[in-house]
Amino acid sequence: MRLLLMPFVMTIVAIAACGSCASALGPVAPAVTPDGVRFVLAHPDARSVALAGSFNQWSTVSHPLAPTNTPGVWIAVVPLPPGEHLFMYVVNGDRWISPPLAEDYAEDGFGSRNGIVVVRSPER
Amino acid sequence: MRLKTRLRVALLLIGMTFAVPHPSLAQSVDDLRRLADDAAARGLPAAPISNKIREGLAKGVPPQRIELVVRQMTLHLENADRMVREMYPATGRPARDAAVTLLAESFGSGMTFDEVRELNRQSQASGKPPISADDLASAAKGLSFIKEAKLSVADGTGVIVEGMKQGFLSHQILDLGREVKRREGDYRTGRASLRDLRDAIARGDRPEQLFRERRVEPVERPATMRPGTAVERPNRPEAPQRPQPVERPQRPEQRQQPR
Repeated sequence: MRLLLMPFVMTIVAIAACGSCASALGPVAPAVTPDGVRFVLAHPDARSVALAGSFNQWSTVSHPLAPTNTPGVWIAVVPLPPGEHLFMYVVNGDRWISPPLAEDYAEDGFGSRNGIVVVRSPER
Repeated sequence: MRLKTRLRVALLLIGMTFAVPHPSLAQSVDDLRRLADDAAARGLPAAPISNKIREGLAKGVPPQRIELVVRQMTLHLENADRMVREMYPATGRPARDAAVTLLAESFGSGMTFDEVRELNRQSQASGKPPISADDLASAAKGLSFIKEAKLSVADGTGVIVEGMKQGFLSHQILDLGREVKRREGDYRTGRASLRDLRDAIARGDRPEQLFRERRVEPVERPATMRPGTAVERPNRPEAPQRPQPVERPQRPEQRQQPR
């Protein structure tokens, strides 16, 4: 029985121990952390990735993601005020990517889907 | 007229229709900015319109297409503004702008005038003090999530109104709708029900309690752990009694061997 359970237990331990590797296992939704919202995108072909959204006037340059130690995985931690924020990723300066995973989505009216991240007020 | 000629004329007419620019559609960024200015001059919140224009331009969308989206958005803002002014004439800016923006978003998500009015009617009927414009807008937006999940609007209204009766704050009402939408599969397949949710709220469950037991992401268990497939193990035999230590005779003193 123990032998049968071992692979299952090992997988759980590996996921728990390797938070930064989570992106290698699948898409990661933006997570609210004490430092801001953590955005992670896995895109092996990207030379650059930026975050554009309702919080930065949809700028394609103001919030770049940094490459991580894992090839093809990009990350940014962005302080955002409480509320609902729409966003998309911009790959290589001009390719708009709908987030693979988000708390919710909304059609943008132009044929794409914006991701939604909700920041709850800490004092609430 | 021969068929070939008719086809040529038809193609020419179609071509002319598309070739001639529509005079009412925006041709430039300035035209779009004018739309935002017009909305602001009519007392509508301009921020969502300006943001949508910036979004469209950043995404490389042609101004004509942005204008169509902006006009639709303006229509929702006008309807929301009319409703807020009618129901809450005393609400001034900036509270009105916030309520109008949220209510317009709910209209954009498919909520109707009648559904919002019904929401307002039921919440006023609860005997509590009248709700604010912000409360109503949050309730409408919360209900719009439930409607987006294609669940019963009547049952969803019951859930939202019960939340308001129990004193849920605006952001809690929004989260209530979001949580239901996130679990839409459970509600559609009958694993969860909006009526049960309403009853739980009526019993006094707080927002943080409502979905607590389901917040943990389900982990797929291996087949050997699933109930029904578990292998029955025989009872483990009791451990044998440890024998009492045997008293051993004293070892005789070692004799030195003569060399």
